[in-house]
Amino acid sequence: MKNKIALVDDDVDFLDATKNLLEAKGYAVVTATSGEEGYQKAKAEAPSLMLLDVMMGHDSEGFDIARKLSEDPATKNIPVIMLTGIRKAMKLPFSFEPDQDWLPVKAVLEKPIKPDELLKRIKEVIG
Amino acid sequence: MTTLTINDISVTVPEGGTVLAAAKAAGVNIPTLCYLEGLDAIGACRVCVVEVEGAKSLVASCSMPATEGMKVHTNTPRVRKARRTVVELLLSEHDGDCQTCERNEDCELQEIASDLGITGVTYSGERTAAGIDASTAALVRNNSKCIKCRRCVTVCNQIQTVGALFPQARGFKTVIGPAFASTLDSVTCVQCGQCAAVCPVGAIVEQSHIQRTWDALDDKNKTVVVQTAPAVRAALGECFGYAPGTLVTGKMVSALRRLGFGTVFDTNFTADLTIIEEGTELLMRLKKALVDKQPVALPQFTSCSPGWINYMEHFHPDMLATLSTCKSPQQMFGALAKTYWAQKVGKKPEDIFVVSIMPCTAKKFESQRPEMNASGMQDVDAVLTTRELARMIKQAGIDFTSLPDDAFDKVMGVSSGAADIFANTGGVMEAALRTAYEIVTGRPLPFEDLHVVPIAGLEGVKEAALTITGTVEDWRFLENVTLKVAVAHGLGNAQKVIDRIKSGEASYHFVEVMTCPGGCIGGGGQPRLTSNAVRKERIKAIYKEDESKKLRKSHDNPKIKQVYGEFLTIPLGKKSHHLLHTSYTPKERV
Repeated sequence: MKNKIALVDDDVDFLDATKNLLEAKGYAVVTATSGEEGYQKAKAEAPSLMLLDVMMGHDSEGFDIARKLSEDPATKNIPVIMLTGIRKAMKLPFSFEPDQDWLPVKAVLEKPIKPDELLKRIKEVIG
Repeated sequence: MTTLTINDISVTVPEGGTVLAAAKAAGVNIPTLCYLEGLDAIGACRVCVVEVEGAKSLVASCSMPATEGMKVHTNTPRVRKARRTVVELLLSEHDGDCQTCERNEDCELQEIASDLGITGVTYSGERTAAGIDASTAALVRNNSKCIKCRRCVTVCNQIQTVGALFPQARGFKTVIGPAFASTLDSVTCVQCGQCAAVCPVGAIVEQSHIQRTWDALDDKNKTVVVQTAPAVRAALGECFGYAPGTLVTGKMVSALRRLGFGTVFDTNFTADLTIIEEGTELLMRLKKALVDKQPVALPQFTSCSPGWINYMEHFHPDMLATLSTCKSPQQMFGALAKTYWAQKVGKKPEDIFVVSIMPCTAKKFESQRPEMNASGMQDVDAVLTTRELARMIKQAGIDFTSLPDDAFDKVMGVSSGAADIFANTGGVMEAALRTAYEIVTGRPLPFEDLHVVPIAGLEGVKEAALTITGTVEDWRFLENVTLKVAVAHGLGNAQKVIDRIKSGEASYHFVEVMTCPGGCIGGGGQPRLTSNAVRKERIKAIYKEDESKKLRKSHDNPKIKQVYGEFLTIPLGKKSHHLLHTSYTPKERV
């Protein structure tokens, strides 16, 4: 059976391109364009992994959804990789990293995303 | 060099020194009440008199130059009698309620009276009328305890160049105080408390917040959270017999828990946050000036030190735009404790009582500024000086020296070494450079141990210039720009920097000012008496604390990332602006 990946981003072009890439590599993909939609799809579809953007409806939406997923017994075992351009967009003097206290994700990748790097990370998380 | 004898001990000292200094070099202790190291001799108290062979009368050793071949005697019957008489006369005027005085067992007059063997009141006569001036938020003056030594006058005028206190009238009627013997709030006083730090008796002390802190700790409905400034950990130990420069961070945290503080956090956390906000503010100002070619207020002055803010508001209201809009770490902490942390623990701001432990008296004033209520109420409820914390520890019967080490609570208790060095002159600048340089170049500050040597140390005004090369894409406009910075401590030195800027003699991008000599480690609320030797030991301890940490840079602090990711989102953003930044008010100089 194909591994299913939930892809959550409000940038439709990014969504399409990444979906094509992942499907070409043999993954099944479900998409969502908001954090809340992503959360609902995660509950309904039980994907093996979620790729989650940060700045969507509000600037830290992805961070909030990552915490919500980890607190819900139905979704807490779904690993999350964050894909974000927040550091560059906000000129932050630091980059975000997974943190057991507040950012319960497997990895944070900075946009622009390199396809090879993304596929490598996905493999590390779900095999 | 000059060779002389003190009590038949031969001693050779540098030319131009005093007999008092020569005696110290010879290992002879001469008591003083008005002398202050490094300043013009005041010569008011006459306790330091000595006998010089060939001189008709006794001389004050603090102002008598040491000369070649001089033969000085410090322990003759004539000297002993004169000193006793001087101190007995001081005691005859002094309101000696020693048992209930705040300075009991920490009083230079008490100590000298004891050393001189004075066991009774020899002269009884008229006493200085009691007159308590509690008109300001930070300080309380009591003229009936004043021994007219003029130390406060000297620091207020020579070091701080504020001029709030001076001697008026003569003889028994002499009053040391604000003009026309009025109250301190009627003149321009920046509330730095350097007067209280040098007062040998209990004539100037801090406004005590001890009782309100006990009340909050005893109130079952209050969640009491405490923050500790970086300078406190390097000085608190002195109140319990440790040598200056002994770090007591772990014991301090233990003591705070035993006093009943449920959550023990660290002002260092918001010092790191200050660097992110203030560093970003500086880079934005530079971008505006260099790329957008818009008028912008430069240099940017630091804004952590509330005495300095008062000084700018009263003395340079035309320059307020140059001050960073960042609140001090104390106030950032209060605002976040009652919003961000309150949400996390499910409390309302009104249920939380924030106590600060500060090396400073002006922080008491700052906490009561009307605009410091970003949470919807006063953000910081009580401010205890290092001395007041020591008193509370003693009141609670805690044996400080035998306490185990404990650690700060998570989130707002995690900090980098860059936050520690906020405690001393040059530290905020170094912390800012550690972060700003790395943002702009992607590389760590290229100095050994990340220390910016030219801006460290106790020289009054320090300067450095750093040419930026190898910038990353976003900050390419700073390529080959020479960043010029200055650091001043003590308001007199800050005034010198302002004079140089105003005359066009110097220009800088970023200037750090700390109100007190040496920075916060020499603050008005620290254990007395702070000499330069003590300052150096405390600074050494602070750098040791910095170097002992794995995290050395504010932007590496994972809890800072957390507070942005969970709550603030971005530096200088809407929430930051509301909670972490402030504005200043032009005020009159009286």
